[in-house]
Amino acid sequence: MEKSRNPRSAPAIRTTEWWLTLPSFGWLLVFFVIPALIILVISFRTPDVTGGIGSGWTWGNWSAWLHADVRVLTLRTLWVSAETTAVCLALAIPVAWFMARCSVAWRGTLLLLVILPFWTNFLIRVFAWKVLLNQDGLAARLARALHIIGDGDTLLYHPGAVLLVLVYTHLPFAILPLYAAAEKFDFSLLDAARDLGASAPRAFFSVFVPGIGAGVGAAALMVFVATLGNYLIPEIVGGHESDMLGNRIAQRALSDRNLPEAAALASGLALAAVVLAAALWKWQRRQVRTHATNGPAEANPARHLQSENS
Amino acid sequence: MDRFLEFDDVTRSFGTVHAVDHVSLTVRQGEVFGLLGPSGCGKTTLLRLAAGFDQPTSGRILLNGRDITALPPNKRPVNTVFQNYALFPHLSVADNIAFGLRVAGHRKADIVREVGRMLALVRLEPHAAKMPAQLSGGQKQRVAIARALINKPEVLLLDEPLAALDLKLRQHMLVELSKIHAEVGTTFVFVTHDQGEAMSLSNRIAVMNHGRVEQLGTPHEIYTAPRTSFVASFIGDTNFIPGTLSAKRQDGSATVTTASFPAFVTAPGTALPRGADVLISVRPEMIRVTVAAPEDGAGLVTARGVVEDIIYLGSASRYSVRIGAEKVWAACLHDRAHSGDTLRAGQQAWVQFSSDAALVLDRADAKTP
Repeated sequence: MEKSRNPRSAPAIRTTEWWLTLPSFGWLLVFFVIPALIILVISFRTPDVTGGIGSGWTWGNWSAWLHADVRVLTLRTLWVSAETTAVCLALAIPVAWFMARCSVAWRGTLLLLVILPFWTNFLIRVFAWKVLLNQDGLAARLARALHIIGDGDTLLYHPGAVLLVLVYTHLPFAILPLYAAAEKFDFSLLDAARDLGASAPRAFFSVFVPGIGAGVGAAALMVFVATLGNYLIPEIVGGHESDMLGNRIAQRALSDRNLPEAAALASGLALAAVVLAAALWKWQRRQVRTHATNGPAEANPARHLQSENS
Repeated sequence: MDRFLEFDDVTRSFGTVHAVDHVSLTVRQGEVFGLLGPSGCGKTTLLRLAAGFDQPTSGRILLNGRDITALPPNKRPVNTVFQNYALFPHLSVADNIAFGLRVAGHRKADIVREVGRMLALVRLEPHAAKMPAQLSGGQKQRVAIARALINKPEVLLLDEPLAALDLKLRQHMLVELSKIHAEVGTTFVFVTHDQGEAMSLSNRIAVMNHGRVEQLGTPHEIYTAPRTSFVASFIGDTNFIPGTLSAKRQDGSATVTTASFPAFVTAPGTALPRGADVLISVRPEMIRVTVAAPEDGAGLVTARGVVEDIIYLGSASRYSVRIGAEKVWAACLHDRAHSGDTLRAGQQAWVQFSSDAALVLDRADAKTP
């Protein structure tokens, strides 16, 4: 077995790494961890009548999660996030494959095109969709010409519009980690799969997709978590039946001025995201371990074959 | 069956470059066939054409008389052992080997039995559960062989099968490959740039250069009777002595005149005409170097020169001897007959070879003497 040995001792490297990562940890601490903890603390304070934070302590804000309408919002949020994640992966995996197979010069250009939308403000991009989808918008007129929608109908204020814009917004977050994984993928493995009798789709799904497994996990998490907390898109292009948890949090924080309840909902959502991320991390750790450690030596090949689902 | 895997006038061009240039050759059933040549000679392209990863620009590829030129790789009864092995990193050794049968949709019990058989063939039973990253180079290669052989291919293609292994392992795998071939009897076609590998493994070898087959024959034929100066220099070491065919006889033998050696008569068989510029190829081990004047006789070519360099190799030594404008290398085994010879650089010495050992090659097609 090959083992790369670094002449420098491991502890020395670790110390250097710690110093190098310190600024980013500090940044995360000040601008993310501490504010998140402040919100968590606020979620246990009583609301005050002027819309501020009271001085008492209570568990009551968290009971907002038990309201029937919040339960509906939660289920919808999970469902919409799952849909968005699935569509983004379905679109981004072929894109990542294509980009990784491109010449190096083209890759740079394509990568730039993927990142380019970020140069425009998020809000403006969402409003651009409003322009496209409204009654007189290009997309709506096209749909009318094709008799997909009737006269005077709009493509806006519909769960489909929310999904479309969510996918549009989050697609780069799926493409980037998938591309990073696909770029490292050894494409001769596809030749090997084809050589062993696999059709092109079979090779794609049983060799390429598992081969970029880490990227798929990262992309799914990025899209899912980012969608969970989104409220602007349902707010701008969605109707009443499109509201997600984020909209309820915004409503509690901005119009109802019940900051502690907003904090309880926001903290709950953040905790769910943390749990998901931790689960993915643990899963990937296990993958790495099974790829890298010695398995028990056994002579019965049946024990080492996957169950028939592959 | 004599005609098994056939390349029929196959050309593969990339733009104006002919990676494979009108190659026609036939691989026989059950043999180990070596494609030998320097990098860029088209041997790997030829292998990829056989596997179906690439399509010929013109020409046909036939297997058992059936035209397989247009078949995609997954429809060809041919499997490949890749140079970097291309093992699936997310699958265990057993799952890698089972891949082909799974894709073909075999029953689980059959897959388990066949995987077990293959693991035994390549002696990897204790490693069935390991992931490819945990294997040594030699083990990876054995997985790659088992994974390819489980599909019972009619031809097994091996791309530089030993190139990624270190020297000692290479010797071992050479023996291993021969054993596996003897056991399964599948036709092996392998690509190599290493003449030693090709010589020791193949029943027959095609020596390729610039997209063409320069010579096809058994290792012995190719070593002892190279047809071109490229083949003579690529397979083993040789001395090239420029000369001219000053006379030709009825029986096809010819008189060769060189600048530094006495004129001599070659063995019959030269197709070149009288007056042709030729290169005489003499293998170093065919040249004797002695301090005392050797006995001259019919069929012997003798000349006197000065020893220039001596390379001591333990079991043998190599001497370069300057004879007039020519410098020839002679190899001398340190066996009982020669242990007494003590040549020193700068010393006068005699050089002698049999005219039968001198091969007459056309100087016109010599590119890299």
